Amino acid sequence: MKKTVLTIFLLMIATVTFAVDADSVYQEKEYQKYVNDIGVKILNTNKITKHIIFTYQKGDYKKTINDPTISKRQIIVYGEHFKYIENDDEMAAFLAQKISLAAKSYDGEWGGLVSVTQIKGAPKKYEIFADKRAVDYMVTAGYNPIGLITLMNKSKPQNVFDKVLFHNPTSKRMAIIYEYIYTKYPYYIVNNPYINDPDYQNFLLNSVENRAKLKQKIESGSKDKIKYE
Amino acid sequence: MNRYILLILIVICFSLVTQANANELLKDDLADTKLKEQEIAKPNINTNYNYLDTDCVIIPIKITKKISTAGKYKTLEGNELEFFVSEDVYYNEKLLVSKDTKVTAKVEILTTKGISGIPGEISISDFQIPGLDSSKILEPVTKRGQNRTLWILPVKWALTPLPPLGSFTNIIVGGDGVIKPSHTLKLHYYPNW
Repeated sequence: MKKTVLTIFLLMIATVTFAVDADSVYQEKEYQKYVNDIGVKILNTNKITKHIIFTYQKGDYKKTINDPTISKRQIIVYGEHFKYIENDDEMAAFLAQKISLAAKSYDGEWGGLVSVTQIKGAPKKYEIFADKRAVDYMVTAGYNPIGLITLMNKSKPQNVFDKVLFHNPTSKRMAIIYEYIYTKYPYYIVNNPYINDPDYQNFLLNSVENRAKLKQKIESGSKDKIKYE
Repeated sequence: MNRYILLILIVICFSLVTQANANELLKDDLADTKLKEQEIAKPNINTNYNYLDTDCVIIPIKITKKISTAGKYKTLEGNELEFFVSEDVYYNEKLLVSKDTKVTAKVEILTTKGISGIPGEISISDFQIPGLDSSKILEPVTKRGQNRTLWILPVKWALTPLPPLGSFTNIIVGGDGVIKPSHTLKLHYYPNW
């Protein structure tokens, strides 16, 4: 009798474990499909002729020396990233920015090896390039580029040493993106569904000084590059 | 009955508080002032495509005025550029576009030159050629300056055992991205996309 009860108990545990695993696999497949659908849409609509793949990976982002975005042209979306992504625009923003770097890594001599070295050696320069290109990619694919600002506002920290080290301050990047959208795609500034979004409102709040600089530039008709903070 | 009245009062109070908070939202003054009077069209979205066909026609074009990423001929993002088709272009033995046809485009992104030999780069998009469908042109077209990283890297590695000589190579910058009237840019036009 005891043996039978034990066998039934063990079988029940095995069934529950299998069901949990199956759920987890199914959920991962769903995430993978979501990431892939948006990524491939950006590639196709923008006529990006380079081979780039998209992978969903559960867990936290692990920084490696060999960034697969440019070394393998494989864009990995970690579970940690999903914490910040609230809609398709923001997912498209995340992917578009990575796609622009992955596509850039194909350029030039030695099958893109020199470009990869340059992107790694001068991330500050190519960050701005990737942000602007991401805006273009999003618009062509039918996503709202303001999603890039909201995603960045909530997910990118403003490090103390950014100004003097290898990355641009997040506030500067967001201001440059805003100016790029204002100049090239003003439709999204005027018809802005994010205007009541708390993250966009927070961007408006923390970018008051930078937007005032842009306003001054527009009013004066100046063509000079703005020194955003 | 009293409970219902209390519930309704609570809902009304909540709505008023929410409304008050909504009124406190910041406005985007650039959208409300500078852009309000302009007529702004929705940008084109490219969702209808079919890449089955591999036919590609190269359209050679030349710029009318020299542009650069820096210096006297420095251009800016968003600037309109003027090109012309430098020779007759045929597709299936029919004239697709004739020589000297005017072509317009816009500067999309400018990347300035950087240390370690990184070149300046001009990205151009939004090509408009009379009689041709712009959505069938592969964009952007880019023109880079001299990529000095190609020789700086080997020199840097060779000098690394003699510090700090290797690091000195970092200060060498790349060439500016320049497009002169003598340069020919090649547009890839896919007539059946």
